[in-house]
Amino acid sequence: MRVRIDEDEQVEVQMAPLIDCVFLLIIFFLVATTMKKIEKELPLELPEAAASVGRQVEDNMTVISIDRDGNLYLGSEPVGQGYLGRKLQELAQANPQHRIRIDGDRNAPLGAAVQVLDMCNFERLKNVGIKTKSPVQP
Amino acid sequence: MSGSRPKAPSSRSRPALADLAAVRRRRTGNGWFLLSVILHVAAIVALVSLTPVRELMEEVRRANRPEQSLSAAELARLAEAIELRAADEIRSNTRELGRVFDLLGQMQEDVRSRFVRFEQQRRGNAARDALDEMRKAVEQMQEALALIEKDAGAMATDRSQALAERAQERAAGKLGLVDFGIEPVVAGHRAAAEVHQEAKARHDEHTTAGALVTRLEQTLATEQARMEEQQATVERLAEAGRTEAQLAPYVRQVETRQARVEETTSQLQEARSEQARLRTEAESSQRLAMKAQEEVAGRLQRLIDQDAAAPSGAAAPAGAAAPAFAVALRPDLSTTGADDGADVPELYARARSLEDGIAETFKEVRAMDLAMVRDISLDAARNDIDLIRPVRPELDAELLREAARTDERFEEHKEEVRTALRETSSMVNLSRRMLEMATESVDKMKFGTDVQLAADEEEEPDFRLIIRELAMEEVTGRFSDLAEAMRALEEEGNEGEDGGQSRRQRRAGGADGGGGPDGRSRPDYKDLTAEELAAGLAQMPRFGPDGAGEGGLLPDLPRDVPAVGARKLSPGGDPTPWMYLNTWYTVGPFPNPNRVNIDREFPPDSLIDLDAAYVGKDGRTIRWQFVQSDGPMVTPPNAEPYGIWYAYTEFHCDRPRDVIIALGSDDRGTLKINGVDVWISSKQLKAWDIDEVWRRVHFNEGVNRVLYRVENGWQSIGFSLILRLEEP
Repeated sequence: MRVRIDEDEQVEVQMAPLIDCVFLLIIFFLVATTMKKIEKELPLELPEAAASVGRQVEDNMTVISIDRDGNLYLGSEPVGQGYLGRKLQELAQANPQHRIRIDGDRNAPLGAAVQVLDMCNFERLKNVGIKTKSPVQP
Repeated sequence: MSGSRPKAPSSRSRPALADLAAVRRRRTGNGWFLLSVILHVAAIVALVSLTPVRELMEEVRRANRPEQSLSAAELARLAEAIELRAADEIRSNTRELGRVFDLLGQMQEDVRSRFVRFEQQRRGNAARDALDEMRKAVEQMQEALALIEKDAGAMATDRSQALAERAQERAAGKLGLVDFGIEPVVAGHRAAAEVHQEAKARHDEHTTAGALVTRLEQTLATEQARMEEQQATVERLAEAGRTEAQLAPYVRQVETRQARVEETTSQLQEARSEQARLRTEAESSQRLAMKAQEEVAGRLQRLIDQDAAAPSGAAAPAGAAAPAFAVALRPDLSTTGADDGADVPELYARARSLEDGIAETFKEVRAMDLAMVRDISLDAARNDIDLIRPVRPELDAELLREAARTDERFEEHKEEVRTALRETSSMVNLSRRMLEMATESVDKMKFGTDVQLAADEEEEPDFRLIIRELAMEEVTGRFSDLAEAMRALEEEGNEGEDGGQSRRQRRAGGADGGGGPDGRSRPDYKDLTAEELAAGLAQMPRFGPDGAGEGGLLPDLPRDVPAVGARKLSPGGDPTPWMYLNTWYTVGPFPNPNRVNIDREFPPDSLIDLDAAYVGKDGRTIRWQFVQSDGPMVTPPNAEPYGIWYAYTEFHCDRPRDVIIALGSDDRGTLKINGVDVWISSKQLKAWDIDEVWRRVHFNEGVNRVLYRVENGWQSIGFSLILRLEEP
């Protein structure tokens, strides 16, 4: 079949499909990549636990750290016990299932860990875990 | 791409024209193509840079980037940039402090003018009020005398003596407010109080002698019963035909027992005569105390009459003259100064001065409140309140102003900036809470001279004063029911939010103050205690003199009572009859040399800030410490002799409840629940007991704030709070 092409016909870029493709790519990036802000972590020497279970880091998880002197941190920021209590209260009011992870140094006083657990329990925050590391295999 | 597609030759094309057209088409197509590429790249860049993808890419790039060392100049620039950024936040905190300072200042000005009117009226009536209190003291002394004469027992007499003492204290406070010359009366009243203390001491000796008599009587009864048993044994053996030699040991036992009975009888006679002598002394001392108090009252009455008869009375009528007291003005701190160019040390210093100003203003408002609650002068109230001034670190201004050219200096610089930021944020939080507390105090203040009160509105009683009286162990004894007054106080607080609507509804509905009309949930009383026991407990102060009650209704709680340690009450919990609060935050010791601070309010009395550090005994920095106990008695971890400790906890209640609690402390203890005094123990140093006193209190739904204050004299310190959850 012979195709007739008019000499005056304007050759143009088809913008619509190109834009569609670009937007699809961007949406793909937005959805596929983790948008979580990478939290700074304290240099803690975590305790080892053979029974530790690997768990995916949740985006809206709150990390409470305890250093070897028993000082408390929310994320990587040092906090007082009163401030931490108020923060946990706010979290519990927003979502009682909010996940809390306690990162405690292996030499941290046990009383500090009990204090944090007690604070969580008082605010009815039950989704609490303790971060450990797996023992080194010989 | 369509722009680069080769064009099919046209069958009708002419060579020259065709080439020209092809060139034109190609140029046009490439232009469009380039333009579209540029536009798309711009769109992608814009979208990537405006979305979190950028952060992700930065993180990835940062992770893969090798560590680089900065030059000294770069370090200095970085430190400066960090400081500038922090300075903006510190400036914002400082402005917030200024705002709070202004608000508190306005509040103080408002309260001050009302307090001045109140104080003038109070001073105008002080002499007559003092006279009334003296008469009440005489009445209570009269009652105590009658009880001593009847040998009615220690508890009832002690209560009358304590009420007399309280009346004397109130009278002394009122006399301190009188503006005209009453020095002889003040001296006489002081002497009368000393005579009364002497009478109390004589009565205590009489009580001790009475206890000895009781113990000897019991011993004698026991010895006599055993002697009779042994005599019966001897007779039985004699009848059985035993020989004298066989009976001899039994006979000797009887003789020994008889000697003991005779000895005890003799001791008892001596003790009784001593008791009688001491009773006579106690009676005469009590009469002397009454006489002394009556004389002082008479003298004061004459002075009042003279003053009233005088044409221009010596007493300053209310509002006619300048008051003989001074209400402090707020500290002069300009909050509008330009701080745009200030650096971190300047901003920090400004924040600290603002915090001090806020603390001073807050103290003044609290002092006015305390003067009304305790019915004392404003100066005395000021002396009884400690300024809330947490320990703040000093910033190294030199370090901050120097260029940080080394890594070490850079880290120190950064840490200093972080400290300034953290401390100013803490100042803002504390100042906001002071503002809240001051607002709460002002809302609860009852100015008797409030002229804006509508004539048809009957003024409600000050429940805080009622509860305070009920909380005093010396006044109410071992049991006191505060639940009703606490509920009323809570409702009064809630009424502030609805403009008095529920108060009007409650009045319309009579005495039913359970909260029905406004839809609030009603407290459930029946599950707390059986009616019989509650009624019996409520009657306890009127019962037997020994504190146990004739019906034995006040439980005798063993120290090792099986109780569950917790601080939450909910339907799904472990069922248990007894529960103790096991988790506390304690702070101390605050100084108390020679017990001079037993009535002084330290910062935790005004405001709980678990992150705060205070200056304690011997200038030590003290902080709140987390404490858990595995038994009802809780001991602060840094216990030592001579000092005052505070213990704070929060107790969660699933619904409004009235609960009976048992309290005990070593030594003097006071307990507040939701800011309300529940127990004020006597001023004597004493040992801990698990059920030293019983209180029926009201807990709100949700979180309840519990604050213990314990004074330690010497040796040990401890306190306990046990809740009874169901019928034993």
